[in-house]
Amino acid sequence: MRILLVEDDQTVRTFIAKGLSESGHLVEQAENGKDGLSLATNENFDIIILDRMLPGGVDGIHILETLRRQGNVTPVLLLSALAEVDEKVAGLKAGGDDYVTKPFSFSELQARLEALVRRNRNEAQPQTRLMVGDLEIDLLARGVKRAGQKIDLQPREFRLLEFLMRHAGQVVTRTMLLEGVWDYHFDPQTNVIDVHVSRLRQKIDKPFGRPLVHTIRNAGYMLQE
Amino acid sequence: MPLMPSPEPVVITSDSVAFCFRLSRVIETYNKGTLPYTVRQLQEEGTDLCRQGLVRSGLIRLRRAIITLKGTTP
Amino acid sequence: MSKPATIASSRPHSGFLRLRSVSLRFALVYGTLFISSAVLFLSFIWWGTVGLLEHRVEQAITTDSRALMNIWAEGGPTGLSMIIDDRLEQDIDDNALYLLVNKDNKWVAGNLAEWPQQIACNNHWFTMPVQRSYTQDMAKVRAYALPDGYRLLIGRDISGRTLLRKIVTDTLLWACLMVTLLAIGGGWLVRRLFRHVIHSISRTTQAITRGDMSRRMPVQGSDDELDEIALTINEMLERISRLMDGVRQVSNAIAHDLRTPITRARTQLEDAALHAKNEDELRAVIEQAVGNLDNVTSICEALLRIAQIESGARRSAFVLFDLIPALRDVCELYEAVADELGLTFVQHLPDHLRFFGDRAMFQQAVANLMDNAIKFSPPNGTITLSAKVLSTARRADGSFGKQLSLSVADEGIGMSDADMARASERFFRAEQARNTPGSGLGLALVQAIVQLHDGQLQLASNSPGLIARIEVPLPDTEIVPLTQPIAGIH
Repeated sequence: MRILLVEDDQTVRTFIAKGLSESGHLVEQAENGKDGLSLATNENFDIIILDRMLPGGVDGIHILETLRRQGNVTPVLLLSALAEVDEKVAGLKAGGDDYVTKPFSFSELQARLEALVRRNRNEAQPQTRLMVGDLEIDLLARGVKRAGQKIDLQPREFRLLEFLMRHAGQVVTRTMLLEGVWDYHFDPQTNVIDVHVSRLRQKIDKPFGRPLVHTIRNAGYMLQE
Repeated sequence: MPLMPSPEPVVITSDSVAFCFRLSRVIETYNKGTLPYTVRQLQEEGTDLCRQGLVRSGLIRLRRAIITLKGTTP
Repeated sequence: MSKPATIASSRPHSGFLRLRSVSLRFALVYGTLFISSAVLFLSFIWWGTVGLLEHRVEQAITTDSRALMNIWAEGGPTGLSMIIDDRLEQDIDDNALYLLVNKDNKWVAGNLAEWPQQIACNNHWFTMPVQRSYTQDMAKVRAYALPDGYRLLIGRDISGRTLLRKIVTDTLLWACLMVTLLAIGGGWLVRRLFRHVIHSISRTTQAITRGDMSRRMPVQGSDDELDEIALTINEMLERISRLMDGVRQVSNAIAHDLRTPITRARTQLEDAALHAKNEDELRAVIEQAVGNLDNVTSICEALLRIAQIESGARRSAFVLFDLIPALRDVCELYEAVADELGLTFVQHLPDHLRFFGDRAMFQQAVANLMDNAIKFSPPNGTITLSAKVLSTARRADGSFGKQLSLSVADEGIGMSDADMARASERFFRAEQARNTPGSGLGLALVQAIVQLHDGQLQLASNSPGLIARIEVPLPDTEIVPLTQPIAGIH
């Protein structure tokens, strides 16, 4: 993937760029809003990582709004030290696709990036059926089958599985699950997500021997064959 | 009321024993000797006071006598 | 507070006649006001007596002059002379002065020896000395011109009035003197009183400036304005010192709670840098350190969030929504956890509950209470979430109306009464809870959210365990139907 990274803090910028390059992406860097905007308008990227607050008068929201006004639909992930819900709302309203609060772990950033790119690709053709290995779910009939065997899931369990299926092969963090499945924007102190995932595993993995839901240490979960 | 710078006091002539006697005579001649008791009393007292030098006190009594006379005899 | 000595010495409270002293200004204003009103009053009396008497004299002379003019017109000089003689004979007040002279300035009638030199012009008021038998008096006179060169002088001996005038003037002067003395004395007294009050305030505030927060304004118990000021100031000081204590506690707690994970991370990193034998060991240590730093971040975030909620800015995001689905969502999230831990989770919720507030935040408040309940529940314990509407309850602000009472009860270790009182303070953690994970900010956040919704958070004993109860006022009227739950921010 070709990624544009606009971030003024050198430590953070180098850290992200290094991580993304190691995962095989091509990273273009800009350290201020002006350079970032000219790169974003003149070249094509698969995704743009944009710091919310930038020096030099051109801030992240401004770049984002300019791009969207020009009809540029490149997915944008906003980075910000502002954690308030209102700030997130403002960022998403301006046309951002996701919002990551500093400080963040690299795995969280990477997971969200991949989710964004995937979503962008999938949006073209709406799916009614998702399959990973011998697990398949029918989004219309709300039915789940593994190896031809029907599995009963609670509505929330179904949504959790659907989220994992849609992000199959990617790392999904606990925060992403909390936001995507439960629509919560705060961190519970207890390991609620782990409990829900473990319940799902009881139903879709345990009877079949071969696990599909994998725990990725220090990051989250991944559904993979 | 402009006040004159160095005024010489003007003598008041009615403040004298002579004026006493004049008032006394006015009383005497008023009704030819038949004076009421109070008037006579006042006249005598007034004349006495004037003689003793208390002119103003004497004058008051004599004047009162005259007013009494004019009040009682139309 | 760094240099209290210089602050104190730069404000000398002695210096008897400082014009910049407020108390002196007060005293001066008082004195001036007192004296000016007294002078006004006394001058009124003066004009009312002496002025009136002088006027009367002038009036009497004028009236007399008219009568005598008429007599002149009828009887000429002889008639006038007779009348003047008559008048003098009957002048019981012994103050009338008449003099009629002919064109040669020769005496015709009257009781003055000669025409006074100074009376040159007619129809003017003159005050002149006259010689009586023993005394010299003052007289007020006026001259009138008559036909054939005759001139008439009419006057009154005003020595009686002069005496009265002297008495009145003297009285007024003495009164003025007394009033001045009273004004000065009163002013001094006012100044002293004022200084007393101001100084007791400034002494107390100075002591506080020097750092003695235990000082309070003296209250006389007389229930007057001064007491009111003293009580208000004391109340303010009480609140300030409570806030200061709070800030001190919070900053101590922040220092402690942030230092712990930072120290741990630092130690781990340093230890690894010095002693790690291979890359795997190094990685493991770094991961732990990152975990500790994440902990620091989450504490900071929670603090910021509380501060933001307490500022009240979030009220703009309030909407009407059905609380029950929002609560069920939270329950659904925690039910699984309770299940996993072998806890019984009981819910008593009505079907619908119209609520005005911030959906996401209220959910977080309930989630925090659930977190706590789960954390402190013993195995096989029961957690009860119940919500009910109290139709006419006394609200936190003193008004009456519909109120939501939402409680989360557990059967855990509970809290002592003293701990309950302090539980919602930032970073407070009961002794028994020291070893359980958590930032010590959970209840503080709940408290902030509940207060944002004009409600209050109460803790009570469940024996065993703890009941956390949120009481929040509900919207009074049922204008919006509940068919469509209105979502908060997503």
